[in-house]
Amino acid sequence: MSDVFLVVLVRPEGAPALLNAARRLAGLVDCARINVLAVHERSAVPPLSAEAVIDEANAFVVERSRERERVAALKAAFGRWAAEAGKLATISHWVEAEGSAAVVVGERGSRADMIIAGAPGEDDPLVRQTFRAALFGTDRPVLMIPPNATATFGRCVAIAWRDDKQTARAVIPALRCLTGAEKVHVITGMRDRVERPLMPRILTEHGIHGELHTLPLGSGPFGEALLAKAHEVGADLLVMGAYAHSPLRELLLGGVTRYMLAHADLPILMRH
Amino acid sequence: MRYNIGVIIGPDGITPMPTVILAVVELPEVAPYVLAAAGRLGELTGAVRINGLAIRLPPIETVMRTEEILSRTTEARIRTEEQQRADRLHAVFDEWTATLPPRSVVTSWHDVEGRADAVVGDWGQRADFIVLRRPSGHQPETERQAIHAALFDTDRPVLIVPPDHPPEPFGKRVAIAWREDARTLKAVLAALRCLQGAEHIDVLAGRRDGAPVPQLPDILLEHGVSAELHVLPVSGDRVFGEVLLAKAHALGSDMLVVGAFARHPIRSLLLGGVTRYMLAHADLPVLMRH
Repeated sequence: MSDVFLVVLVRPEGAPALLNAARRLAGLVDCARINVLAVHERSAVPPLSAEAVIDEANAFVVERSRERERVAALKAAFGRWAAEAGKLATISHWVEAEGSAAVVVGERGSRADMIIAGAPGEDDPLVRQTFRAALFGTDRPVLMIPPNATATFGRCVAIAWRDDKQTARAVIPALRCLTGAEKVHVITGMRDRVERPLMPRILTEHGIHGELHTLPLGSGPFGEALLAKAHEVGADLLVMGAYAHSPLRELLLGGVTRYMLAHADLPILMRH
Repeated sequence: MRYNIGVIIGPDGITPMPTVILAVVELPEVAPYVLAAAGRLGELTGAVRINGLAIRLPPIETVMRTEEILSRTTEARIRTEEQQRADRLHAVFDEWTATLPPRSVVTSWHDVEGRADAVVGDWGQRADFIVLRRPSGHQPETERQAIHAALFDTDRPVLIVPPDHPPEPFGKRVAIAWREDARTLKAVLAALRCLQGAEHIDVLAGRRDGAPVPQLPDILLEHGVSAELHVLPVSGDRVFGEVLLAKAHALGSDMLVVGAFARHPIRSLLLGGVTRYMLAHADLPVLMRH
């Protein structure tokens, strides 16, 4: 079967990286269709200051036209990309919707095989909200693309391994992108005086050979160590489970998910 | 065990994902059907590996609540019986693997002692598909545990195989029980991975009086799958699962795809109507996912 990708565009400056990531992914996985989505926010940003309340009507009008400009810029970015995309352009479709990004992404994303979305920056609530909808509202694997990510990922892949359901859920779709990988690294945390972990069975059974690395748990944020290790082994893609809605687990993990959302500088395939 | 993996190259030189199938077998007389179905699913998905799994019940699990003591003799007897059952299943598995075309798929046999739900949950979550037999008649508790764990704990698609006859080579005429929700979408996404050889796909959508007329689902259109839509009335007088199954037979379907639902956190208590009906009555392979 061929996959459907959903590319969620929010900021025009981030659009080329996401579209190029989709092109790269289409080279790794048999792809039937790429839907490129932009959402007109009905009220994109809640009023932040007293001035906005005083002149609400005016703010609304300004906001509307700003939204139109933003979506038009996204469409233009898509057009430029499509012009160079060759035969991929014939299966790429521009989709414009109006409403709340969270709702639209949740609905559209649920029927895609993979979602491609920009990393949530700290200072951009709209990108953050959109990303959260993709990750937690769809049950689909999400390829998170940070700004300035390299376009050719998938040659050297690192898997952040934890023996749990979330990780297995992320690894299963990742396996489909691993077919072109030259090297697979498995990075796992290890506590003192615990048996040395083995290569995860899910990988060996799927015929994936990788190199196992262990990192000590407990000293400093694990996310930081994980990211450093991924860079050290030369990974161009990181695969990991994503956690939320469980404060305790987030605490136990040292907030790896949170850390990665904020700091990752390589594409990450995540799934909740 | 065979370790010669045939490398399959898909369109555009893309290697399809290596699929792993877990076949859970329980009764030696039904195991051949389950394995045949796993093999067929393997053909449809280009599987690289099929794991056969038998679960040996720990003696303590067989103790009735009213009994207080598990004597050492009883424990030993139960262990021996369970091991003998597993060995018979192993023999069935070996017979089956001998019939496979050489170099087509890696097969490996496992028997594990443990609670059915824990073992299936653990083994199932790292497989791409789980194949199990449909419970028949009086179902022992372990079997229900296994099916429920597969459906609700693993997040994986589960193929339920009828226990009383060998499966047809299914996957040619596939019926999808359509409902606009997340579970059905997940089941369909999984099904799309085994629809490559399908000659005809039917979509069966229920409609209550006055509800809008269902359309062909976007998920199929977007994946480039053409299908025929059939609208079935949902009414109080007939169980909808029965309506679905009858329609699937009328259309000559050899496989049915449905989302699996549970209405209660303790899932075994309140399965959704169609899910419960299919687990009790389906006489064709059903691909389910929660």
